Amino acid sequence: MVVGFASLILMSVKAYHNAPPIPAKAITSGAEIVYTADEVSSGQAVFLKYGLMNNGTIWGHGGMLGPDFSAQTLHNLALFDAERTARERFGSAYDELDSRQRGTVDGEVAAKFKANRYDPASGTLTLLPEGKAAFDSQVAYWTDYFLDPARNGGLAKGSVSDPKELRELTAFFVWTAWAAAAERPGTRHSYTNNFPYDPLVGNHPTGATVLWSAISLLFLLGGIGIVLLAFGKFDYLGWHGVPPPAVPSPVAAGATRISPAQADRHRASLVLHRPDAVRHGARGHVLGP
Amino acid sequence: MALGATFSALEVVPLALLTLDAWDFYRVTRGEGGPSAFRHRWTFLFLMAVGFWNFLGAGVFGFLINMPIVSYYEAGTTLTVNHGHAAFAGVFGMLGVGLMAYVLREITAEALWPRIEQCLKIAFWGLNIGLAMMVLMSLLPNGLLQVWDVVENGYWHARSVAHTGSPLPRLLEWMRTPGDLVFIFGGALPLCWGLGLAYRDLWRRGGTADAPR
Repeated sequence: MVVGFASLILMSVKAYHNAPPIPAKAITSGAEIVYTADEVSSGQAVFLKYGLMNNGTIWGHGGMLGPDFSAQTLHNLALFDAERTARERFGSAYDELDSRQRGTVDGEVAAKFKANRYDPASGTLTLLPEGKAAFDSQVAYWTDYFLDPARNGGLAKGSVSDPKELRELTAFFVWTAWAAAAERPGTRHSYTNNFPYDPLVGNHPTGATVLWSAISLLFLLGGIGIVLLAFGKFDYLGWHGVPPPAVPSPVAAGATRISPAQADRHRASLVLHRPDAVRHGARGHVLGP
Repeated sequence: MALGATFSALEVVPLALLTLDAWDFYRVTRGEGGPSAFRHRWTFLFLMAVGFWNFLGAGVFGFLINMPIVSYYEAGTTLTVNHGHAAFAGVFGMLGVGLMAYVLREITAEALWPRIEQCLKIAFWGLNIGLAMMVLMSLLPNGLLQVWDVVENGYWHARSVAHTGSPLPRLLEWMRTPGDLVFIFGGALPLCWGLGLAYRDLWRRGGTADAPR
């Protein structure tokens, strides 16, 4: 129990310790501030205020239906950058590229989203080129989403309509999107172990994800094997052989017989007190009348 | 991830071993001298349902989404809901109703018991068949379909209306209704009816249970 709780506490402490940082400010290459840590936190408060965890999810956690706000924002930002890159490199829309050109753009977008441009010393996150326009496009996207009940799973019309709140909410979504793609320092995966899956930003399952899946199968099969072995060796771990303590064996007591009522009462009381009593109950019954 | 993956896989071991126990349990439930001879038959039947859903809902559907590589794609999809419903309603729910059946048997006057037993019988089949319909007709196929979409198109797509609003997922979502109806009208309501009968009887007798048998 000590080991169990120690590991649970350790995992909780690590979860807080390894939480992705919230940049004090996110800036464009021209040092213009796009969003701040305060806006991200306020955005989270807005998210909670409207109970949006019932309308969609963040990093896969929340409502049964509705969009994943992080994954959707991340993909939108990636498409924005893909569009920009396509025009810059090939002078045409992303949709119109041939497969080789598309591969070039996709690779470039993924590399950019994987790169971690956060500087812990200054608390500054430098956004991709046209980062401000990308951010504004997301404010527009989510404003539109909350405007129309047909698009947001039937929220009250205009429930989230304050421009300031929408901007903060978007800052929160954009930050969760950043943490879901940018590589955690010292590793080759994002702060969220590359969740959510999105090939366009280079989010694929990590090596550890595959390896530990296989090893978990070993634990399952090994665990079943060991317990079955113990069952065989110790005759069902003694569950079968022990007569119920309170019921005198009719064989041992000679002609004594248990009335059906006695047997039933005994079974009922035992069953409610001990899970293994089910077997004793069965045995008592067999020995009974 | 290492600890989570391996130890949650171990969780399935005792659930799988429940099946070793199942046959004995069945014999106890039937009792000697025919089914009606056994006083707490319905409590046992509900406990048997607990064992069944423990294996299927918690064990099979739980392990289905347990491996990190599956969890990576399926987190937050209907496949999680599939496990959640089968395990929670199936195990904790049936356990609660089993306890209810035990108490009902103990507090009910012998003359009234056949009517209560009838309610419990309908509720037993209603709850179990309703839950099975809910899981097999809607949640499991819809969950598998959604995970398939995650793998094909990315997580953002499978969560958006582009997937959930398309014809097949929408049809499967509606297919929850038959199971839910059976669960409510064949399971929950008969149970409430039986509880009401027992309560009314108890109240009329001045709040004291007659001595059982």
